[in-house]
Amino acid sequence: MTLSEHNAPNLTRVVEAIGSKSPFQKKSSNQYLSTADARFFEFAEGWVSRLMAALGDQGTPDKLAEAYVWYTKLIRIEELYFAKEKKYRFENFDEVNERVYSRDDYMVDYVVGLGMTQLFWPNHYGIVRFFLDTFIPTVRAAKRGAEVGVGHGLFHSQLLAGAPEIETHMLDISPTSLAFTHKVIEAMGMDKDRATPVLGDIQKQMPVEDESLDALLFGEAIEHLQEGEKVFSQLATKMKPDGRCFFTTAANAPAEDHILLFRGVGEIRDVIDACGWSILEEFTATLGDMSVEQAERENQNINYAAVLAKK
Amino acid sequence: MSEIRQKIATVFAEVMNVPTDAINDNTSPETLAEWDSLSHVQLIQALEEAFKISIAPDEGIDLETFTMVLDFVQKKVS
Repeated sequence: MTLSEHNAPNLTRVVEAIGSKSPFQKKSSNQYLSTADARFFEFAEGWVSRLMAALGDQGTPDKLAEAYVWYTKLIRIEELYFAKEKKYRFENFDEVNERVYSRDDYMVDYVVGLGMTQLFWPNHYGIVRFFLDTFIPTVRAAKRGAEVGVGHGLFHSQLLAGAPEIETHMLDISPTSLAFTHKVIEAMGMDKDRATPVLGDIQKQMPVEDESLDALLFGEAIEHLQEGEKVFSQLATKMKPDGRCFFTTAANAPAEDHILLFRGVGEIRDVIDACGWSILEEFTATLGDMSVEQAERENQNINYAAVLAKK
Repeated sequence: MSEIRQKIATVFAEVMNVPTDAINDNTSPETLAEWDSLSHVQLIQALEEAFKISIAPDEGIDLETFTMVLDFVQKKVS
């Protein structure tokens, strides 16, 4: 089915706006949407609608498209750097924090642009599906949860929806992300007070009780941290024995705020093990039909997600 | 066709795996299916190698048509 055959008016307008702004994104989104299924279109219409609601007066299809094209341009610039230098441009968290997370206006476009990639990047949407279909069923009865780095709020809001009795802590260094996630939660018709915002640098302070969590989200976060492995190890101590963690990261994935470079799936698994976690389920995705082995040989992007339990 | 133009067209053709005569002044991601974000990175690297020039990431990102590439490379090598 094509986009026009689905009842997705907001998504349709967003896709048209993207096409008018970038020939590259027009091509990739058209190609991707031509093979998407009905579940995707239903999910995508809901997510773009919630993003628009969270933006308030600024919440237009054009704004979403503009943020997405801007964000993808930033990524493509870093991809060009990475292809030449074989390393991420930035290695220091304070530098990245100053460039990105501490800038409130910048962060609005950042979280919206990143939020849009959850739909228009096949690997990111694959991770969303893995989260909804594989992780959420393991935490339906969860009472206490937390997320490190809530960003655009997609995963946090879906956790609240999937675990109706859960109350959570949102841990983030960006006040913009915390506020935006609250708005996304409200746009889903849920009580935002179920999610308590906790502003701070998780590398300096982890205000979570030991063995208190049924559910933890640590997605697309470790690669942003200078002390990611230390944080990841500490987080294991916060889990109840039967608690479940949803973990995602990426190898060879240049971005303006990526510091920790994984070069392959083996390295990721080694860190998971070293930080005190066991892998229960896994998901990997590469670009096109490339094998993981080829992606590792050629320094190409690999997205990784897993459901974890503490060892 | 000038030598530079011909050489750029050859680079395009090799990176995108298309015949050289598929590349012309109208070539862009909209007209050439093989020109996507991934092949664009490869294109920039190949141009740097072919012409022994350095293309900064924020320069390479804006080269979105054949004629933009041609103008850029001509300036760089002159």
